[in-house]
Order: sequence, then structure tokens, then C-alpha cells
Amino acid sequence: MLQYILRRLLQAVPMLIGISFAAFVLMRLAPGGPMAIYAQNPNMSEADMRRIERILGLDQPIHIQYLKWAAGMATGNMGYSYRTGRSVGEVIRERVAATVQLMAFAYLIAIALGITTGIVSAIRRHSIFDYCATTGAMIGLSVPTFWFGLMVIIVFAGMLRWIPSGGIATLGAPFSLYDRFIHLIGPAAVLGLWMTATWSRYTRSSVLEVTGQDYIRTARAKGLRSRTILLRHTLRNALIPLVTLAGLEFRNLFGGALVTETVFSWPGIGRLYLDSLNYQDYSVILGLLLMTSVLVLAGSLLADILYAVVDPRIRLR
Amino acid sequence: MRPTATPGKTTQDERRAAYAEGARRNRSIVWAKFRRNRLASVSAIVVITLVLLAIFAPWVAPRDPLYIDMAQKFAKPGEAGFLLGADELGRDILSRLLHAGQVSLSVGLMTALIAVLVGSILGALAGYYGGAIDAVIMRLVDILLSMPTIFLLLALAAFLKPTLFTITLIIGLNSWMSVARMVRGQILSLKQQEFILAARAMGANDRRLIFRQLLPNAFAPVLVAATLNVATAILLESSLSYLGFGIQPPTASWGNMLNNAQTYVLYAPWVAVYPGIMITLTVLGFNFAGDGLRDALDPRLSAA
Repeated sequence: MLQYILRRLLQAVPMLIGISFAAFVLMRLAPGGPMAIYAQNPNMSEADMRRIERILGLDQPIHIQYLKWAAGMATGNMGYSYRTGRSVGEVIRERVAATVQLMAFAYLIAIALGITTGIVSAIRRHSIFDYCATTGAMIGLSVPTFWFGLMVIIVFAGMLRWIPSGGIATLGAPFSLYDRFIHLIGPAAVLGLWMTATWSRYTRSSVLEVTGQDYIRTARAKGLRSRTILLRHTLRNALIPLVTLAGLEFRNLFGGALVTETVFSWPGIGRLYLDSLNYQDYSVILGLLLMTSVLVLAGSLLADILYAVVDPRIRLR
Repeated sequence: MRPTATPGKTTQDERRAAYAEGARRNRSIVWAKFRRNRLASVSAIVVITLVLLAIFAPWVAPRDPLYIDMAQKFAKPGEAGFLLGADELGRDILSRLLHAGQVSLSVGLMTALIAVLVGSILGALAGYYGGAIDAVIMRLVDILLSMPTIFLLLALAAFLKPTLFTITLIIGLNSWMSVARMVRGQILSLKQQEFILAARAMGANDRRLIFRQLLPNAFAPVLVAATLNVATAILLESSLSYLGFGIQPPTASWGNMLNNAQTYVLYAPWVAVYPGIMITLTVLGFNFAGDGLRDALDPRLSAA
């Protein structure tokens, strides 16, 4: 087991280098390069520009720049924002909590709702419930998240006035858990319901696959009650592959969160990313791109390892 | 002893005719299976209708989609001859929707084409040659699949001048990975089969084997992937355009019609409602049609 985990971790190293190099080169290829933001200032003389270039280390050859940057990254120094001069790590850290809150709630909704509908769908296959659930899931995958968010705002903030139309808390009001919750529920529901579609489809097909296995027929032939078969045999085996989905969904989760944060003016890393793009703040863009990529990579690594933990057959390969 | 037709010896023409007949019969079986799937047929009709509406938008649209008329700002649906209302600049929403269809659909279709071309070729090379070529291509796939799509697309779109061409290109170059993985898997199993050995024995070179023997046999799943890819691409384009990094105004795309929707969504909801319905309808159409195609092309599911 330990050997398997170590092997997977080692395989991730070249990936990490590849990703960081790709992201770094991408930023250097950007028009105007990292100096674009300074070039816009009319009071900047050519000499000033050269001086800033030297301070930022941009006068060195690109592979040296990459190595320095990578070394900084490895020790937790992500560089400094070109716009404000503050440390990138600090700028990102301020926004992470909001995004984590949103994602955690959305995940909770998606897992609870998705697995339940998926199981019921599979047990009552071809029933009206199954038909509605599968069609609903397909619609869920086809609706653009931002539009779904806008519709939620129109109905629940505009017409019913149950939730505010955006933000993370009422401005100027003292902290209250209720206020936070009422602001969170809209974006979390939008992101969560969108992911529910994937979870329910995945669960449904996983349960159906197990239902067709020989050992389920054997259990039935033994005369076990169908409840026992479902709980002890079907679900135990069908829910195992879902562990991987939790890790693999990271990539979509970040994209979905970015869009949802924009719709609901949620001050998370998605908004930060868009703002940084608008200001050509390359160091923050690079930091966020790398951070999210590393988390996606970690997600799929975690999925592999968890899968090996719950399913011993995988380890032996 | 019958003097006619020695068994096992047919002329090339006869063999060709028999092959064509077989192919025709296969196609009609697939077609019959697809048509029997009601959801898929309806979706195909919806998609075709939307494509036709987009193509003929200049003739179907009641007004000029770019004509600004501030006096009619936020006209309600049905008011002053605006069937679906007017937007924040008094432009006719219906006409903009029809013209935006041209943009969104062509991005979707062209992107799928890029994804299929790049994915098939790289996937086939990886699967056929294996070794170092395989390793390099598949690591590239892994790296691209580790970067959150929207984050990467936004960065690229911000650096390039966003036009119809560049947006199509960057979405296409970020969508080929799943096709490549699938084609690689297909090629890996196909190349073990005997008809490949036969073709090689007859002196076929690598290029001929890949493009004339292996890839055509992987056509069915690629077609399904292409259809589903159109759906994903339309969603990605609309997200980019909504965020302001995709198709730039005044050209309308279903995504950028929602660009400023936040600011007035509460008092002019109709402006935000219709573009989303168009996107959902189109994406749903391609998704259902793709699922239907998959079922129809799968020989394991019987025609009955």
C-alpha cells in the first residue's frame, strides 16, 4: 500500500514540473509581458522601466527566471502583485476562505442530493422518478451555470425576496451567522445543483452495474431480503467508485465556482482571477493558475489513492 | 460439378459491391435505431431547426440586430413590435438571438472539428507507435487535463485579441484530450486484430494503416464524441463571452448578451431569460442527439 502511494506521488512530480513550466511560459508569452502594467504609466521613463525590470529579475534569461520562480514557489513565496506590490500569497489567502466555504457547501449539496437520486433512480429503473431524474440531470448539465444563477436571482432575490442578490454579507451590518448563511445559500445551491447532475448520473450507472453482477444474483438466490441485498451488497460495492469522482470533479468545481462567484459577486479566488486578468496582474494570475492546477492534480492523486484504499484489487496492478 | 463461380473466388468489383451493400445496410440499421429513439430524433430536429434559423437569420430576423434605439430601451416583450422585448440599448432581442446563433453555433461546430482532428491524429499516433511518442502525447494530455479549463481559457483569451477565430481556436485546442484518449484506446485494441496483420502483410505502410485501416474503424465513437463536444464548446464559449473575454460586442453571442445582465436583471428580467433558453436548448439538443447516436451505433444494443 505504502509502495503504491509512493509510486503515485513520484509520478506526480514530472506532471507538477510540466504544469508549472507551461503556466510560466504562458505568462511570459503574454502581450507586453509582465511589464505591460508599468508601460501604461506615462510618467515612466525608459530608465525607470529598466530599473523595475532589474528589480523583478526580468532581465535574466527565461530558464533562470523559471528556476528562481519555481524555487520561490516551493518555499511558499509566490512573488509580488504587479498592481499593488503586495505578496501574491497574501492576496490569495484573503480570498481562499470565501471560495472554500462556497465549494464545501456546494459539494455537500451535490453529494447528498446526487447520490440519493442516483440510488433511487437505479432501484426504480424506468419509473417516472427515474425518467424525471435522468432528464433533469441532462438538463442540469446543459444549462449554463451563469444563466441558472441569474434565474435564481430573478426568482428568489427579485420576486420572492428570500435571498439577497449577491455578496457575502450585508454591508456594514455586524457579523451574524444567519446573514452569512442567507448570502451563501444562493451561490452554493447553484453550484451544488449543477454538480448534482454529474453525481446522480454517476451513482445511477454505478448501482446499475453492480445490480447486474453475479454475486447479487447469488445473494438473491440465498433468499436474502432485498433490503439486506441493497444495503450490504449493492450499495457497498456501487458507492466505492464514487470516491474517485470526488477527486476528479475538482477541475469542474473550480470553473463552476469562478462563474458562480461572478454572478453572485462572491469575493473568492474566481473574482480575484478575473480582476487580475483585467489589470494584467500577471504574478497573481500565475499564482492562481498554478494553485488551482496543483489542487486538481492533488484531487486526481487523492482519487487514485482512496480508490486503492477501498478497493484492494487496484493495489496489486 | 457446376462450372459457374468457383467458391472463394470473386472479382474485385463483386467484392466492392458486397462491401458497399453491407455498409449501406449497416447505415440503415443505425438510422432506424436512431429514429426509434424519440428523444434523440426530436433533439436532432431541434438542432437542425436552430442551425437553419441561424443560417437564415438575416432574412428571418425582424430588425437589424445592431440598431440602437434608446427611446425603446427595455421595451417589454410584445411592446412596440419587439416580440421578445428590447435590451438596454433598445436593440431587438429576437433579432440579436437569431444572429447570435450564427456565432455560438459556428464556434461549437468548428471547435468540435478541431478537437476531433487534433484528438484523432494525436491519439492514433500515440496508440500506434507507443513508446516515447505515446509518453509525450499522453503527458501533454495529463497536463492539459490538470489545468481548470475556464482558468486556462480566460488567460489565453485575455492575452490574444478575442475574435471569432481565436476563441474557436483556443477552445478547440483545449478540447481534444478526451478524443485523443479514446482514439488511443481504440487503436491499441484494433491494432492487435488480424485485419491489420493482413493489411501489413499486403505491404501497407504506417500512414496507410493508420488513416485507411485503423482510424475509419474508430469512426463511430469519434462521431459521438464530436457531437457531445459541440455541446461542451457552446457552453464554454457562452461562459467566456458572459465573463467579457469571449466574443466582443457589438457582435452578439448568446453569452455576451448576458454580459451586463447583473445590473438590470431585477427590473428587466426578459433581457436575461431568452439567451439562456437558447443556449440550454442547443446544448440539450446536441447532448441528447449524441447519446442517441451512441446507442444507435452500439452494435451490442440490438435493433429490436
